Amino acid sequence: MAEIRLIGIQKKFDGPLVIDDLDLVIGDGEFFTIVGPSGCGKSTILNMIAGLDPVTRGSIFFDDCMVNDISPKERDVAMVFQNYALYPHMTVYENIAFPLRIKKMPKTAIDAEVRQVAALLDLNDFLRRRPRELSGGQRQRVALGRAMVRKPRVFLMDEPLSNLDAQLRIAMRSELKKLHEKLKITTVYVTHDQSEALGISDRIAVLHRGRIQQCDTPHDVYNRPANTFVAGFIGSPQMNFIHGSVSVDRRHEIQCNEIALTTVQDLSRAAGNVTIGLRPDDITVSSVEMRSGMQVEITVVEPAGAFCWVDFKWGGIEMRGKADSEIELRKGVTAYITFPVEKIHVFDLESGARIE
Amino acid sequence: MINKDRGIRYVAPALAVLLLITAYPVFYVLYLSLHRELLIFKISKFIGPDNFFFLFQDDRFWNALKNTVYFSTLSVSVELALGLCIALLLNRSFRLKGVTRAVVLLPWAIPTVVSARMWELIFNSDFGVLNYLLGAHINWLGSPSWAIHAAILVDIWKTTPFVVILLTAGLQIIPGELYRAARTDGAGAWKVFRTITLPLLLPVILVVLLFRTLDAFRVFDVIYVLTGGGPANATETLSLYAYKILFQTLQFGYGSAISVMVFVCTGCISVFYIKLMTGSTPR
Repeated sequence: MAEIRLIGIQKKFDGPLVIDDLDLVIGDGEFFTIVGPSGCGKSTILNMIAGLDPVTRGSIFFDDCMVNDISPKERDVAMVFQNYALYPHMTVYENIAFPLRIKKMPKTAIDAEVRQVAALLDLNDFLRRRPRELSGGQRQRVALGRAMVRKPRVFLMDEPLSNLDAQLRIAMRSELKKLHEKLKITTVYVTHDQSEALGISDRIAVLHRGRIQQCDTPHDVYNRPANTFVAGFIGSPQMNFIHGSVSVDRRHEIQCNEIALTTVQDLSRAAGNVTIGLRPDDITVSSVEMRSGMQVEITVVEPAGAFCWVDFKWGGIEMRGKADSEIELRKGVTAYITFPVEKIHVFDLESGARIE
Repeated sequence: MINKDRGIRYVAPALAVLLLITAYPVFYVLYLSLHRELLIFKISKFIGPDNFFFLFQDDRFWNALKNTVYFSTLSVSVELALGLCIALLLNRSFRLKGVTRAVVLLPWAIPTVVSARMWELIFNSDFGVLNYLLGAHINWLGSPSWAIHAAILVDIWKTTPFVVILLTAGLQIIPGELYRAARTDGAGAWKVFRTITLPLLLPVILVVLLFRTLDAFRVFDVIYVLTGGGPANATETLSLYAYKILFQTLQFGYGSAISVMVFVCTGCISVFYIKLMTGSTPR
């Protein structure tokens, strides 16, 4: 087990910088997730930690040991790949045993370890099969088994669940979490799925264009997004963004759509134009006129079981909110919205940075 | 029913052509090999397996067989080793990769007769480039021990590209993730090659061996141009011997018997490799 520290990391392939000046500390035994849209450089970070890609500049430490020049072989990390990367010419047993055979462990010890891991992952019935004879979920478990069997210092997982169907993905999520609680091995997990990141991690780093936008607990990333990118990327459906303006003399008020919104934030330093963020989750749409409710026109109603997502126009601005499914709402109907003031996020219009 | 008849009628012309150009010559050679055929004396007599009995006592046949086996074994094994090295190098990414690939393929693109003529000049003992570069006076094509190796060298030069193409194709279908997985699993470069690359490439290697061994075993053009089988039959292979008996001495019966032997040998080689292939398919 190890603490991983990345200091001033830069990575360049042939073209421009993929990763620019990255600092990251991943605690011992932590389940750490790097999340971001595809092409943001998250897999590259993983490959650099594994030692598969050299860093262009900066250093990587495992505990107090700098590992920049240490080969993947000696870093003692195990990686789970998006396409599982099982060895097609080996049986499940041989796949799991592979890292131990490379280490030249005695046969009887290998056998004991493989069987233990196979039992843990419920793979005992498949040990003699080849990867192509397995289902996606089974392959996934074999890949996990191969990573676990060595008891590595660090687990690296590169979108390990993205090739599974939706139901299995959710089931495997909690499996992974349980496994991590049992093994307590430092895990760096890469995904583009923000809900996966929120559900599984101790901490999350949101990566965009090779830079970390925010690094926090899932709770803080969701509730206190550092900028408009994080706010828009984390949370589904996406946060509504509206323009607003703040005048110098009113530090708790935003003018928006000819309405003054009162905020908990002190906006005295943000005078001028701002971006207001409101999660659809926090906006209640109702057909009944409520106190301080604002009048909107409904454009789309999308039932989601226990509730409905409602697209509406608020004075020309397209937004989305949530409504009780019991309420009758139809396209073109006039409705009313409310939201708690403490749920209003305010961002600087130009830099996109959060204002508090 | 009508449909079935019509199907056969549609296939019939193609089938007839195939029979005419493949089956007919094969059976005719078999037929000839059991006859004593001397065109100039207008002799055509059934003699049963006598040609084959004579073959087994013919020192020149055994010499040709020995040369053929030696030629095939050496050239195919060097081609495979060299081809594998080049394919592994070409499989990495580097600058001018496309150009390098094209250049590697050049020898394969040149007609054998042309490249054999070219090498004949290179090997020339008086004004050849090879002797000039080595500062030696070796009679490459004139001395029995050198000539066969000169022929093997030309064959290697010419057909290694073919091996490279097939092996590069084979390497490209191995997913890059597997190498990365093996490296994080603790395997060094050699272990990755032994445990991942080689086993996954094995089916392609066997195909390469099959093609190359069959080709090498029937080798004709390189040697025909380079040495014509000489000196003192030191480079005479089975195909060359058969050709000489058939078309220089016009002994169609005996020549056909030699051809049948080539056919039997290549048949055995094919069966051997195909057995290996079905036994070793990893996927």
